Amino acid sequence: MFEISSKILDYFGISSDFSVIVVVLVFFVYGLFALTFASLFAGITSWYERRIAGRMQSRIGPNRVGYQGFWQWLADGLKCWFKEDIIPKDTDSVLFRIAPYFVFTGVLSTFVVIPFSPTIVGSDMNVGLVYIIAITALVVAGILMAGWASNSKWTLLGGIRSAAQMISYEIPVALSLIVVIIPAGTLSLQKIIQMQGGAPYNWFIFHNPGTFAAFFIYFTSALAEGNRTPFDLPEAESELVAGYNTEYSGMRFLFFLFAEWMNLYVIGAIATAVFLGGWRIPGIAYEVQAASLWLQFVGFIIFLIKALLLVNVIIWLRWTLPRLRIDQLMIMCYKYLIPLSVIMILLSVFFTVIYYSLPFLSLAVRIVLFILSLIVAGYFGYRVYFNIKYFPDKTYLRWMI
Amino acid sequence: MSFTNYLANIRNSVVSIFEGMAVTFSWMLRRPHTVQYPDKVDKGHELIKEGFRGILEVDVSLCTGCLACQRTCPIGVILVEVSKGTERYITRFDIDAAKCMYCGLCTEACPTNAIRHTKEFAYSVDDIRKLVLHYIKEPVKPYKPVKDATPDNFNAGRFVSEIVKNREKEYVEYEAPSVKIPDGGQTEKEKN
Ligand code: SF4
Ligand code: SF4
Repeated sequence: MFEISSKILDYFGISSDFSVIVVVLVFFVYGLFALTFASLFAGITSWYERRIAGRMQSRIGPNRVGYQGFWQWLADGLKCWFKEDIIPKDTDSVLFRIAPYFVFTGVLSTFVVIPFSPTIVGSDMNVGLVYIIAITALVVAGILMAGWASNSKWTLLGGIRSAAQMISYEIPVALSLIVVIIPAGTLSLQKIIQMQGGAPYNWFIFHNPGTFAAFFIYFTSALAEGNRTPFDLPEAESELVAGYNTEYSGMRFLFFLFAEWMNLYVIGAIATAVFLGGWRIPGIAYEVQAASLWLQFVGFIIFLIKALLLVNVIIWLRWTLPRLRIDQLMIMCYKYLIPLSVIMILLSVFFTVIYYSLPFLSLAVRIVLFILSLIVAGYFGYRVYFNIKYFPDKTYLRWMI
Repeated sequence: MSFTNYLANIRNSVVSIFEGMAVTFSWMLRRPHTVQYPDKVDKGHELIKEGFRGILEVDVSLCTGCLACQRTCPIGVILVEVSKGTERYITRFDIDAAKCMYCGLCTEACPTNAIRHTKEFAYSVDDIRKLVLHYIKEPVKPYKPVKDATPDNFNAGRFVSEIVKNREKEYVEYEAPSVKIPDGGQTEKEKN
């Protein structure tokens, strides 16, 4: 955004006395854009997720409001808006009131460094990844606040579980990102994207076996950090009523859900930026793309498509896997994900050093990994076909309309 | 936990997630089982499986006035009145459909299968009193099971035992219901 504001300043020839106002204005507009984008995304995803869930469970899902029920999210929002905001007696009312905004702010703040295109980014910090890991700690604080302030055992248990889970899973998230930071040599998200190519085999996920595994480790731990199923223990309905947001109602309740759905995009966007090549277009150099507004827009669309595909996978996982138990959750973090990501760091270091002396090996490893994952994807398609073909009830074997 | 065990755990989780996702994805490509009732189908009766316990229906021409159903009903939904005297008449047969819990005990008790469940499920009204179904408008003579009757001459009466034997079969053959709930709360049987 600094680049854009300096361009505007140059264009209008504004003297340095007023430049602060222009810069603040530009940042304000960008903030509004990010907020609108995140809110729209969260709203539409809330409808989309329910439709997908319906399909996967052989139901229909919300389809009454507008075409295919598309406006359901607005209807739900309006409903929550008009609802009475109940604050139970004996709660710590100040903490109770501000807790949802902590969660919301914690997730929304990550949009500062999440890029949309080569120049459209809140701030291209040189510590971008560290910033993301640090700022999401606000979410933990918010959830703990909500759990404590509600003065109910369910919310307190939910809050404590959530804190334990999110703090634990921040370790594998950070470690799996380090795997990429080693070959990239930078923490800035824009620079990391810049170092990847447009073609799939130039992405960091295929850089070496270490980064390949790190993508899956990152994805799993990010799900756990974002309290998504199969790791949604803080709001385990069967055990804790609704966890930390049990006592909330109306708009405050909605803010928690907003944060949860926005977090889907954050997970997808970080994974896209770090592992999947971000906004790079195949065959076009970075300088060319950064100079052209049109190519930036194409990059934005490419970024969005990749991130939304990952969001789809997250939703799909939610309706596939059962919830883990709390001890299994901790075992998975400390016995599996952390040691594995440390091994992946070592692998990544090894390959990065090797590539310096044997550059041709780099391309070979990339292409082998790329072909390998294509084969896995092909096998997956076969398994889907197999499940459709050999399902005993033939009555419903008609394709989706 | 040995090291091979550790590796097997990782392998198992990866494979099972892979397979599970293939299953859910295959389901996403299918048409849902759910059929939208008022939108896509008018009545929905043909979709209902046999043995569905919908609103109760009484074939008064078969009722013997034995009051077995009234006595069996655990919550007193059925009210049957039989006049006394030399000529017995069934003067009243009311079922409070709003109160009924569709347990089916009355249909079990009935010796002639006169009271039975239909597949009718949509019968909301604007006044709950309209859900008291009156099956008798004019006094009806109770049905007398005749010993020498055969299943062929239905009007002469059927063997009770035969009916009991065929009860399961009748459920299967039973057609979509003819219960109507007009404004007055009167239920008319087209048969009678
Ligand atoms: S179905 Fe059950 S509740 Fe209803 S009338 Fe018969 S015995 Fe009573
Ligand atoms: S409906 Fe059946 S059980 Fe009830 S009085 Fe008539 S014959 Fe007896």
